[in-house]
Amino acid sequence: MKKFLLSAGIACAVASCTSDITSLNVNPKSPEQVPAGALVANATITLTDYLATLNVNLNNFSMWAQHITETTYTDEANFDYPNRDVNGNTFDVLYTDVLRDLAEAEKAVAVDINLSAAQKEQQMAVIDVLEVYTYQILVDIFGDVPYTEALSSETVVPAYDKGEDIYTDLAARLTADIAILGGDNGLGSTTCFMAEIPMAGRSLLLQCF
Amino acid sequence: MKRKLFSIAFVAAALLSLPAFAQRTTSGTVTAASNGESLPSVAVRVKGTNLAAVTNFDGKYSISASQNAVLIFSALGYATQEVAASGAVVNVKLSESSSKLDEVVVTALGITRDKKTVGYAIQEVSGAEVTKVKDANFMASLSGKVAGVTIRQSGTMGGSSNVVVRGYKSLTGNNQALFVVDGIPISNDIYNSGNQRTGRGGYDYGNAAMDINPEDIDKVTILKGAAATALYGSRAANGVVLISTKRGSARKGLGVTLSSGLTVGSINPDTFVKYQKSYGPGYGSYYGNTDTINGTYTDYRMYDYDFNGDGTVDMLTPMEEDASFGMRFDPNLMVYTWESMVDGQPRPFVAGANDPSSFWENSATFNNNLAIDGGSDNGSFRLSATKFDMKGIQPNSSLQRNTFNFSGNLKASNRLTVSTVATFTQQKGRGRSGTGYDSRNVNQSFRQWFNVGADMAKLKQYYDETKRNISWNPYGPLYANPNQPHYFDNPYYMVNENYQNDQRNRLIGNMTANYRLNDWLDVTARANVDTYSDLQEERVSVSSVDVPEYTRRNRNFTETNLDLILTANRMIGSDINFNGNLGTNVRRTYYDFFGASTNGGLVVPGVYSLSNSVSAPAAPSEQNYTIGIDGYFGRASFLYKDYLSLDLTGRYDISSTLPSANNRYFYPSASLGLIFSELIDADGISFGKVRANFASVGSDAPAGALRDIYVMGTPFNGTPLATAPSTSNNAGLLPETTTSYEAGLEMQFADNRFGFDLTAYRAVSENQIMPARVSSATGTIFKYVNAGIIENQGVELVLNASAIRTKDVGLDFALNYTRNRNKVVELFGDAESLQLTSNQGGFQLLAKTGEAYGTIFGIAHQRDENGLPIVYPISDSRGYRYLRTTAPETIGNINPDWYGGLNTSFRYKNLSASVLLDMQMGGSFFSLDTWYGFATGIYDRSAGLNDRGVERRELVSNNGGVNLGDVAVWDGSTLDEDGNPVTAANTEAVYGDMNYYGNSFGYARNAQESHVWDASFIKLREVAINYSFPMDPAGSIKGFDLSLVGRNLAILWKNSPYTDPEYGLSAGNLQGYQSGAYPAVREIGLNAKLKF
Repeated sequence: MKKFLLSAGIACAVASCTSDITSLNVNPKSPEQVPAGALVANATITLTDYLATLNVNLNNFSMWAQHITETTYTDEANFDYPNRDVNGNTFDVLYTDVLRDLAEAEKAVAVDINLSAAQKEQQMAVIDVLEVYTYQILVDIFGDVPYTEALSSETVVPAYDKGEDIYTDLAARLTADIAILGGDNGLGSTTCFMAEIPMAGRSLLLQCF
Repeated sequence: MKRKLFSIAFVAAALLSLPAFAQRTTSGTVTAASNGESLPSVAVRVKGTNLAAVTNFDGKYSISASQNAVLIFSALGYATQEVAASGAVVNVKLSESSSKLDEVVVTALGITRDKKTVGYAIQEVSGAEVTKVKDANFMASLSGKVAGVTIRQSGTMGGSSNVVVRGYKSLTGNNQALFVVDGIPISNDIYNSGNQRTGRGGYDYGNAAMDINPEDIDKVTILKGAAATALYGSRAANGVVLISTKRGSARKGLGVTLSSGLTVGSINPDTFVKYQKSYGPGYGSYYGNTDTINGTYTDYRMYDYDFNGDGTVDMLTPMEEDASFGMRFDPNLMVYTWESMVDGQPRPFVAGANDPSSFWENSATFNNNLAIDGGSDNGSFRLSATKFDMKGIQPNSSLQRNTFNFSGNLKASNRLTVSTVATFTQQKGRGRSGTGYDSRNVNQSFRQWFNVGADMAKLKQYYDETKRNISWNPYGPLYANPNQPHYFDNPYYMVNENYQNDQRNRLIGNMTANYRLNDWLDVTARANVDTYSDLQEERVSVSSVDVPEYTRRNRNFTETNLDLILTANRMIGSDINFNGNLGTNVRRTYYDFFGASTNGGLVVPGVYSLSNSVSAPAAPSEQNYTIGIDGYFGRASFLYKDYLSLDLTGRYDISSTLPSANNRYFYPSASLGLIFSELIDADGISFGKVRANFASVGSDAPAGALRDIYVMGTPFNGTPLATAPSTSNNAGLLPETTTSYEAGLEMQFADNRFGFDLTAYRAVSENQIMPARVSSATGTIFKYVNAGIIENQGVELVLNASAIRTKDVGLDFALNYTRNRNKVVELFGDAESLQLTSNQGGFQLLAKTGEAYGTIFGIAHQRDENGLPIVYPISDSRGYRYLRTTAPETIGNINPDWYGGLNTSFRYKNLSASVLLDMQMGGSFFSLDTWYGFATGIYDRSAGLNDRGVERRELVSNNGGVNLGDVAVWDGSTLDEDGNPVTAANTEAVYGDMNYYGNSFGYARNAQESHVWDASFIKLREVAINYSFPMDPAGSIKGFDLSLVGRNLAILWKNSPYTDPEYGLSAGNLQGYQSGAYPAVREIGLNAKLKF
């Protein structure tokens, strides 16, 4: 009898360790929601870094236009690229680091309970201008790029849209954004260059025609 | 619900304990039949029960058995006997036998079984084999000794060992075998960073299982197929390396063993660069305003510059360049070199007197071990302390490991046995070798970018005298900062000032209590823990070429395993022995990581602290996860009359890393074995067994793969940054499964004089949890999915043969051979390839459908219809060049055709010797070293006379150049109607230029295909000679053994120049790439062992 009680007791004690095991899988160090501003700031920095970088794996346009050149290792200045996937890297940076963060920012703005509808509209317009700018750069570089099916979770191989169609849509979006911009956007004056966005939008529109 | 079921089962088991027959104590003495000597440590078991005892040092035993019990007496080297327990005293005489029928092996969960009852492939290596060689990583000692397991080193001191059993099964997950020590699964994690594994720099910190001390190992058992490992759960899909440590035993007094050894090593020059000694620094004809200076023709390879200000122009070498396509050396010319920046004097224009081969020092390893063991009829213990001290071939490198190990067991009462094992390891590393394309890897310059005019002795002297970074590569007087190193530091400065250090404290242990419920039922409760904390610190000093920095990483890891296991051993009828387990395992793994670096440089030189950062350090990176797995398992083994065995296992796991709707998976296995030699009567056959098994193993996801998260970045001017990561998670993941089938035939002939063990297997891994590469236009680069099917099938053969076997002389051969065929059957959706990595130099490693895992992908040579490479003329002076493909294609694969080892051992009285050959045929790797090195002119093949008797570096129009062999010549413009070049096989010799960095062979003009080398090799892995001095048994010294061991003595054959084809960057899935590879080290060691 003693034996049985002892063994049964141990069994129950051990078996009770199996409480809700799925709760162990939470990552305590990474957030599942962040402020939209942080995402927009990151997208902006990544975009401008891309445009200004001298990293031969990413941006060689200054060299092709002969504004600058290389010295000892002159492969890229001589248009010799078998070792570097510049196309892939550019695509990766602009879609996954810039456009993705802007799309996530739109989602964050939409669910932000501290903003009024008007403020949300303003912030969405700002994000939209940045997205238009990025797509414009993509079309200028590649011509046809994924646009309507991009950034969706529906397909893992988004179809490519024609460059002219994208430009037309970009122009339409910009016109709509310029009309909206100017009101109170709930960000105050602390966020970088938000005051200049309406003017940047108009300059961009010129390019898209 | 599960809880209740388990408790009910328990109650049922307890109630089923039938009342035993009348018990009485049987005792007696066991002696050897040949000479009547009493035999200690003979195992005595009561057949059909769990009751067991061991004879003491006088050969006496005592066991409680019922009246009609049968006692089984077994000991290593003797034939097992079964004797009825007919009276109170039963004496037994055992005869010697080398029969394999009685071998005992350790299997999953530490269960010891007779090898004859095991239905799957299992191979053992004794502790003596593992301690022959005192290596920092004990796994290295197993290379070439076990079929089905490939063990490859990365080549650096304390570097990781890649241990893969029966091929790569997981596309992106862990493929390393699981290490289990005394029933405790231990962490073998390899924390090398992504950058380190892809050649972008970093240190190889080894794999955590390296902490295991070979001195304490009794034997290593490799469980290869899923049937063997199914009881261990998910991690065991990749095979298990089961290590049993030494225990004490019943004996008179205390046994003391003292072992001391010294091993010295030096580099094997076959695995290092052979430099050309004829040409100085530069990339070609790019320097100076004139091609003739002071009457000497320089071909624009020398600067004309008045160095000493005396009005006449001097010759100044292009010291700022890191290549050796310069002017030809001439000892009659006085020129200004990098050394002139130190003393202002010109010197003769010659090659450095000491090339980088002299940079490597002799390594020295001291290994000392003291072990004390003792025991009585009631219990035994073993206490051991080991000190391992290694100084590596790189200056300022060392690895120290202190290990303390205690194991003990006690028969606390008639029914209760308690035991414990604890090992504490303290490891300190310093000056580990940097790897990859990074300034902290000296081979980056020695193998790829170097000026052969640099003298290592001078570099050492300048550093030793001034402690400053006086490099062979300063900018020189033509630049604004003449003394500053351009690309490379002084290597002695680098290893002494920019070193890393690390330390790890680790505790592995368990506490076990075994309670005998009744004759045939035992319950074991066991608590296991594996916990360590480690610290890594890396530094780049002020005045190095790279930005000064300090990085530190802290890691804490703890894994606890609680086991509760019922063991049953009972006869069913008179012919069937049932042996089984039922148990539960609760595992929790906890991991915590913290890493931070300085930013922008260091303020105060020599102070390595995060507070000493020029700019505010970026936010430290933190990582923290917990994994839990609750498992229930059972095993039922039936043995019919000693020759037919059936094993069934089942395990049910619940994992925290899978979504709660789908986090349970069950996996069974079944194995069957038939010792047919017991049924037939063939004279020559002393043992014959056929086995077959089937198993299915499930596996879970990595931690945190279910929910999407954001990553916070370092704030930019006060603005917080966040980004969505490039891998998107998946809340609908399912468990992975690996299903395997295995069949084997084992036969021994002529009284075990020769025999073989042949196994054929097939394993299919499906539903892999992998980050699939998707179009980045979706916003992510990778998406976690269940996809992918990989197949592994192959054959393993172990052959043994005794050519001579007498009392005094023995000559034995052991051969193992493995052939594994891996195939990626399916990936995600329609995808035809999954890129595993894309490394510097245009190298890609892919998993391609229809090919073996690990395809090397890169640009190739275009070929004509006969397979000849197409060449076209560049100019009269530069000759012909290879035509490259415009898109990359398959140019190699990391998987070998076969691999194996041959061990020859010889014994004469007290002297024994063995020779181990380790070989691999097939497989390939890409070398970034030759990719760059052939363009920078440092290798000997870039200079010397060509086949026309003219210096290779002369222009092709002057009869220089290198003969390109059989090629298809294209004129460079004529195309056929399909747009392909019109070519013709060459009728006369065609030459490619070797005059400057843009030659036809280096990275600048050649295809990656030319730098993919065959990884085959035949190595003389180990030579060991051991002499056991005959000792007076009555004296105080019971044994004195002296052994001389040589390791990695020679590569008898290989097809890859200047390197060791085995080496890579790190253990793991990313193989087939060498960048700044380290030379192999030949070691010779002397070891003395005293037993008191």
